[in-house]
Amino acid sequence: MVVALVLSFTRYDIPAPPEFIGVDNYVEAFTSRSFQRAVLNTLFLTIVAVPTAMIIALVIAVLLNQGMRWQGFFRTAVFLPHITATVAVAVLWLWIFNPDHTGLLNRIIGTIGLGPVSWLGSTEWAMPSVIVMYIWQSIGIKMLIYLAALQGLPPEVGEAARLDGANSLERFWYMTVPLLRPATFFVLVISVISSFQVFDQIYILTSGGPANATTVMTYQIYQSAFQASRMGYASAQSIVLFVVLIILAIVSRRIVGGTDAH
Amino acid sequence: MSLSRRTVLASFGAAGAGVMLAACGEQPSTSPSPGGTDGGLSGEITVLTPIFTGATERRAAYDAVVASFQDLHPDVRVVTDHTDFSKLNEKLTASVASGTTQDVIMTGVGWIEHFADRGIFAALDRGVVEGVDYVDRILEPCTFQNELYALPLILDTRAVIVNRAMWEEAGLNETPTTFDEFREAAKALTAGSGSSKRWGMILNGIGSPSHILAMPMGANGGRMFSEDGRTALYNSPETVEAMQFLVGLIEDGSATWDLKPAEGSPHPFVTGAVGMSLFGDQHWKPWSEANPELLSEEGSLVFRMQNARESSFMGGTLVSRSATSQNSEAADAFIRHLCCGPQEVQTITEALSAVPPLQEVLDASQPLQENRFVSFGVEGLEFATSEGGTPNYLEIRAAVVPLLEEAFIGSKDVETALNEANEIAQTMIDRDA
Repeated sequence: MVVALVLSFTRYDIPAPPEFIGVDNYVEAFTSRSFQRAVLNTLFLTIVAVPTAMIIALVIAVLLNQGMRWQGFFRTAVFLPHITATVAVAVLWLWIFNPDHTGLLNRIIGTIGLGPVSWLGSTEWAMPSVIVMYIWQSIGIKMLIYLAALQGLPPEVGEAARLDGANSLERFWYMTVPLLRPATFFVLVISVISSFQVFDQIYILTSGGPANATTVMTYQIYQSAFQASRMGYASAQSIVLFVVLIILAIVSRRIVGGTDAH
Repeated sequence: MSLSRRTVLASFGAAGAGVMLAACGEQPSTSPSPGGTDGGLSGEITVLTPIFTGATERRAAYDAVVASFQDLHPDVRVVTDHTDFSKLNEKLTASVASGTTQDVIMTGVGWIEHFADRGIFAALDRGVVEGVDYVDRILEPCTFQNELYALPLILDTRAVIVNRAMWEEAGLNETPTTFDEFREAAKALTAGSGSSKRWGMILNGIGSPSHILAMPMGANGGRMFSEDGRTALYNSPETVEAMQFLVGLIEDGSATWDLKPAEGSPHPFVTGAVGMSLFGDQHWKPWSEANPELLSEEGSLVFRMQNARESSFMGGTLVSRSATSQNSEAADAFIRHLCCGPQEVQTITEALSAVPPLQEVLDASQPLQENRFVSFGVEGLEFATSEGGTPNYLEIRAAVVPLLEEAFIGSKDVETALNEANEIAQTMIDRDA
């Protein structure tokens, strides 16, 4: 971290030695259209994917906490994508998003006379497609945290509410959700951090394209470091990413608020 | 006594190396090296290559060439790091940063300037290509500031192929000689509508947008950069017109950027879903296996894009030596063996279905002669246009490609996209000037 901070104030174009250039790298990062686009894309991915994945994970966790049959199997199935290598997962999704009629999604929409759609090749669909894959892959760990939190809730609170006449939806909304606030804060923070670190999916599925539609901050940093050999500039972009993450962690804390009390 | 013997051997070795350097093309690489069978070479050399992954026959061809080198130089151990082009820059940058740069490095057209300018690649002795019958055009991408930094191993040429039955059915005769004629032909080849539409031309999927632009840009006599690499020319009239021509194919309804060959699926040209396509040498094998009739002389026509002049695209794999190599003599010997030995080049180009940089290899190889894409590529080397031409090209390309894509998908007009591309490219050039 310290080395990255120091290098961010240098021009370090491998293999030339670092040369101090002040804040030039930061000026370039803030004025670069492609980096601005990467920041916006990352924010978009975070704003869409994180809440969606959290809601789905919470619902699944509640469903898988009811003592249903095959519960262990379903928990494993939901968690499996999280521990599967992204490269393998991406190959699967490349087939699902295949732009011709052999792709799974295009086959499905083809049955109602639509498509084919170039899911990863069009600027409209590329980012939503990446987000869908990201959500699918990231639900497992969130579900696991929620499941652990749900099992730690005192059963007597729910029982009291039931006696007071609250239906299951009311119990979920007015009791479970507030009681899960510490878990929600934790899930939110790790989800935001993880969404800002999305790289593998972009690298394999779209390489940031088309027309920078799926370029995210980590991919830009990779390009600066390994396409342009500009380690100083890449370090400055990394520091910007770090600062944004710190800010978002603080904002998350404020949004969820009062978690220490629990 | 032992010191004296070494001195004598070294003298013979040095003298022999000079002769060898000057006679690479005249002597088969299988000739004994100076200083005896092993040329006095020993130790280890490391090689980084992006072209021998995937099919086992590729790897087998490379291993055979390494084995024949080691027959000549039994004391030299060759350690190879195989990767692919998408990870090459990352691997190379990491190895340079960590001080473990490979001795021999294979890169592509447009890469040499970047690594030569940064002192990562060593200049090679010009004598190495004396007597080798290269078309001048082939050595241009290997050269930076009048120094030779690489030798070509294989070339990758691209041109246009058209379905002859569709061509004749559309009432077309001569292949197009101008952009306007090309657009009219693409329109004539377009048929049907909706999901059963047959596109006149497929643009996407044969290389990056900068490769696709390079061909018509060359046909217009344009360049990406000035001769000295100091001025970006993305918004020159020749390049703007070339890009407008490509985008015009989409505007005419003859092509769509959304149509991109899917991984593992037959190419739309082979299935008859499009009338015309760009092709590269590597497509010969899968396409001719999938539809041999279509790929025969009777089934299809191949031609180069044309406007002010004819133009094909030329990429390729170029072999360089690291400037920090600790075993530069062995590394140079390996490069010569790999790139100047007709037998070695033949083994590799046949396995990769690629254009050989040496005419004698094509003359000697039946499989390469039967490969229409390769023989057409060799015929057209003098018309070849390449990308690159400035030390920052890899960085510039990464920044320019999204702008070209924006023009292709219509979210930016051609002039705006190329003006922005030029501004970005010029800023990068000036920054490092």
